[in-house]
Amino acid sequence: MKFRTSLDFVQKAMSVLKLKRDRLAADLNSLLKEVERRDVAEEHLMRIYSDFKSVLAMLGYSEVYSACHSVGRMKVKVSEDHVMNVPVPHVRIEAMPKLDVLGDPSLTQTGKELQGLVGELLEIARIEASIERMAYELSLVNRKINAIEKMVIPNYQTNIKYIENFLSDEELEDFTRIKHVKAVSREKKT
Amino acid sequence: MKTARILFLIARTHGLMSHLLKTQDYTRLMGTRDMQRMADYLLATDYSRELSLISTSKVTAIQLEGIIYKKLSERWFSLLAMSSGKTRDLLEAYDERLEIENLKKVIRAVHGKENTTTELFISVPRKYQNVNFRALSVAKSMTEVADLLKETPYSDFEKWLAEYETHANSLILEAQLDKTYYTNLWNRTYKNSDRHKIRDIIGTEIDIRNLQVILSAKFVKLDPQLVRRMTIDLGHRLHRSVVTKLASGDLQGVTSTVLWPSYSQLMHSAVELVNEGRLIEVETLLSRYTYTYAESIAIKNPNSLAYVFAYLSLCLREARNLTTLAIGKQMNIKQESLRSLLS
Repeated sequence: MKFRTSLDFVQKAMSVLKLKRDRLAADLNSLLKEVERRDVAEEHLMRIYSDFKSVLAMLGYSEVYSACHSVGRMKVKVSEDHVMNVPVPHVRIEAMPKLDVLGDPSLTQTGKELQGLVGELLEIARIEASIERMAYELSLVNRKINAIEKMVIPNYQTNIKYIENFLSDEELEDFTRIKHVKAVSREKKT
Repeated sequence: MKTARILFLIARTHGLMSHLLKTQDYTRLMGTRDMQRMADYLLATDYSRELSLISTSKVTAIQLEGIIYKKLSERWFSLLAMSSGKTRDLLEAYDERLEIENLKKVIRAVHGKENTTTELFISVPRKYQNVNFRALSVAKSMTEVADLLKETPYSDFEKWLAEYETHANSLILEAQLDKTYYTNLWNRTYKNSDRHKIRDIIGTEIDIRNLQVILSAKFVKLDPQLVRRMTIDLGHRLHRSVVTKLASGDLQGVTSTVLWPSYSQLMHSAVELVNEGRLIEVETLLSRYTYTYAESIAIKNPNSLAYVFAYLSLCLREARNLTTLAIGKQMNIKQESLRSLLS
């Protein structure tokens, strides 16, 4: 009885794991489509970098470095959300550098373009990290399902079958013994 | 009638002018394969002493920039050491620009709550320093900076703190330093016999700086009232009323407001470039105008003290151009793009 209850539990757990696997796979698929944004962002980043090289060459390293001192730092808060119990990162920009203090228009323009792209780059990084964690979780769930399907459930089933066979053998033995006892006692009476 | 000391200074400047890099030098430098080749080429110029102290095979653009600006400082202050009297006063006022640039770096760092990087400072000989940079470099607030600037030529700084705090923009303080610098310089030209020519150079610089500030402010959409305050109150060919009008008008109105022929032409090209989003070229265009003007003054007035100021301006152009080339080489910028960035 105990084995049967356990088997029921394991089967239910497996169906829950299968649900989790399906949900993770669906989420993963939708995130994979979003990764395509990376190519566009990288192309944009390279364009900004090329402009920045010109600005840097024109203004000089010390001037650009010093100008960047005045804008303040970018502040980002990274927290964790959970999707099907998988921790995925959540990035929130709390403060952006104030570029209107730069003074130089070309540096301001390049800075603004980069600032516009930083949000997108962080989002792509978040998506990639989520994909990595979800893919790892998906492989774990798959391994669990496989283990349950191929090992745990067959083991339970074998054990239950063995016990059932054993019990039926014992029952038959008892029946035969009772029958024999009954036959002996009947002979004694006659 | 010029004194023997002034004539000596002008004659010496003629000699020093020949040390500046020529167009063919820039062409060759642009054609060099990498930073090492560029540094090797510079070993045969005025930069050899500093460059010979480091290995040219390992030289970086940052190191080279430091060497270039150190040379600029040496060139500027060597003329100051040769001068005397009112000329010395004037040159001293002119050379304060390097100190102003260093002060701006302090202000930016304090505004951004960062540590001041003293390695970025342009070297100013101790005896010509008006401020205590060591103390300024560890200042934590703008009030502290203002306190340290009391009893210096920049004591007005304190008056602008309230406005700085209202707008939370360090450009206000930087503009104030520029104003103090140019006003001081302009006032000292009064005492000189060649003042008209000298004022032509300095006045053009002021006008172009005002135009640059206005164009930049239009681009970042700064408050017009603030822009007016950021411009220098000294108009040479660009009258104060024109500057005020430009500051409050829109970008397209710039071309119709600036009437001085050469400025008007310059502004037409600049506005066109701004509209096309080619801001880097606008800056090159404006600085190129300033330096070309200084060059023309030098050619037309070889026996005037204006020649000395034209030389100082051209030294700055060389420093900027060499920095552009050094960074361009390190960053692998194409030769054609580099050419367009040179003043």
